[in-house]
Amino acid sequence: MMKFTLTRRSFIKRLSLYYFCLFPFQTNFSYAHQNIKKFFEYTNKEKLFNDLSFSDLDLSNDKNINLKTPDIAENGSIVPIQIESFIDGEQTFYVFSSKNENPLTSIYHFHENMVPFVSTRLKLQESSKLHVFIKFNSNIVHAANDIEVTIGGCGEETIG
Amino acid sequence: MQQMILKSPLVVAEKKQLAKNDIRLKVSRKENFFDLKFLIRHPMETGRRIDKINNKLVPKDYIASLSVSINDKVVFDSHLSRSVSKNPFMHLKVQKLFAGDIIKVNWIDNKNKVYKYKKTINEI
Amino acid sequence: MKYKSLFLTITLSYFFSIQCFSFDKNEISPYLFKKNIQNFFLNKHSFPLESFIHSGLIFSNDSMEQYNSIMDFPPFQDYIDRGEKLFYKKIFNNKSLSSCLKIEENKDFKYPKFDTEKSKIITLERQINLCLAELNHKKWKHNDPFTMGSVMAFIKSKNKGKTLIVDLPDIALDNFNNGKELYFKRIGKMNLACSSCHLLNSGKFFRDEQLSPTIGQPNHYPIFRKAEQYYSIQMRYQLCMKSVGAEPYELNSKELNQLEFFHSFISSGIPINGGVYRR
Repeated sequence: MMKFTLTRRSFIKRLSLYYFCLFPFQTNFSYAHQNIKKFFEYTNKEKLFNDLSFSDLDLSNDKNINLKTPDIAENGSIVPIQIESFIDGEQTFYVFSSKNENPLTSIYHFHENMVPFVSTRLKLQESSKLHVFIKFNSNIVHAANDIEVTIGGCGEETIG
Repeated sequence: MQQMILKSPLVVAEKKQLAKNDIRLKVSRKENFFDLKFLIRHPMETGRRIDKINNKLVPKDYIASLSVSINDKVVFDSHLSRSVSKNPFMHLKVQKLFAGDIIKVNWIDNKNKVYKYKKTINEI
Repeated sequence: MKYKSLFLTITLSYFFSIQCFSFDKNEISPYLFKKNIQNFFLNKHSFPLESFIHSGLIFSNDSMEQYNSIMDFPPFQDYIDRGEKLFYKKIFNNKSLSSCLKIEENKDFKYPKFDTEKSKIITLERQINLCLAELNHKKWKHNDPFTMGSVMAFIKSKNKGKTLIVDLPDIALDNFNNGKELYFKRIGKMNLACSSCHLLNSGKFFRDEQLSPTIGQPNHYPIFRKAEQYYSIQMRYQLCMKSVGAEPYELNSKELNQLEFFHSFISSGIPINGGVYRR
């Protein structure tokens, strides 16, 4: 029969081993992930802008943002959009599609060594405004484009 | 002599559905930066689609967050949602990249499962 | 500009007087017919002939940009890559589809073609199955995206830019004329022909889609609709037939082969592409 001895050292070793086995994937954004997740559940655009401190802002198009979107989306389930900012330094893009069930579509955070640029494909429920807010230092700028959608992209029309 | 017709050896391997969470990544040098483009195979189910075969709502299944790191330093992180298109595509621009750099793309789905991908840049 | 509408009216009426009012619908030579129809579109929509490869997208820069954006990194690249593997894989006696089809050797793209010995129209799908039979392999279904579809998409995208040339030997004239008849034949509950939309009304809106011109349509097939659903040209003919309330012909039927043959002949001279995105 094996003798089981537990010293303080071996106890701490075991504990740290269990910790690293159970939580091996700590990444920079895992904490923020929990915090920010709730905003993706919001259905009211005004409340969402308010809670993210985006209301009371000038909603005209800032010249530091180049937002490229189609005028008429061929297919609402795959709308190519491109956002480019001419602002230097760390910054975060918040992208909203005003008429989606949950208006907040995505958030992109750029650290150093990244050009503040993203091109991706989104789903748009219906013809709406695509808003982009960029947070940098303690400033926020905004740009928005109207996109017309003929075939809605949020589920009912997708391939089954 | 009876000719043997092969059943379809070509098809057996190819017909199976390609694995979810496969990623294709391309890096290319441009004038003042490097293009980083990738596409992850993922259904990004909104939870609103009805499966026509069994008439049931397909549950939500999407990538919730994604990060890119270069040489273990996170340079980009994002939060996505079911409003991102199926087979999410991203085109990013990196300022500096050198041969030997390791690009890692990690993503977490809405069930908190983590996926990782690593690529070493050989020549650029 | 002043005389453009007059010129168009005259061309249209000449063109259709032959088609609609002549007792012998086939008195015009196919080569003259092709020249007339291509000139008709070149005058109606002022684009160079090569640009008709993009079909309905030529009318809108917005659509063209969305197409280019998605084609930069298409979500359906898997199908094309799978097609590449299947195309070069050695199946039997160290031979592959590539060695049988020998498409890369030609500077032009020559499908569909007419087999004068067997007196049959050979579409690319048919040729692939003939090659598979030669290689002692089971045939593929024409609408299976994992096999036939993948190889079709790969072949067309690999040979992108080559000019479509469809030869018309005399023995094939009947097939050509039957195809032409099918093209102009009104069908279905809506009583529409291919020509009703894609000849007379190309460029106009039908619901929210701009109708594409006839010439150049087969050149860019197969397509991936909504970036994921595979359609060959014949599968698209079937969709069109259903949408006008008609019972569609079977894939690889005499009718659809003749229609594809006619359609491709009048689109010769325009480059090809394939495995492309459509809305």
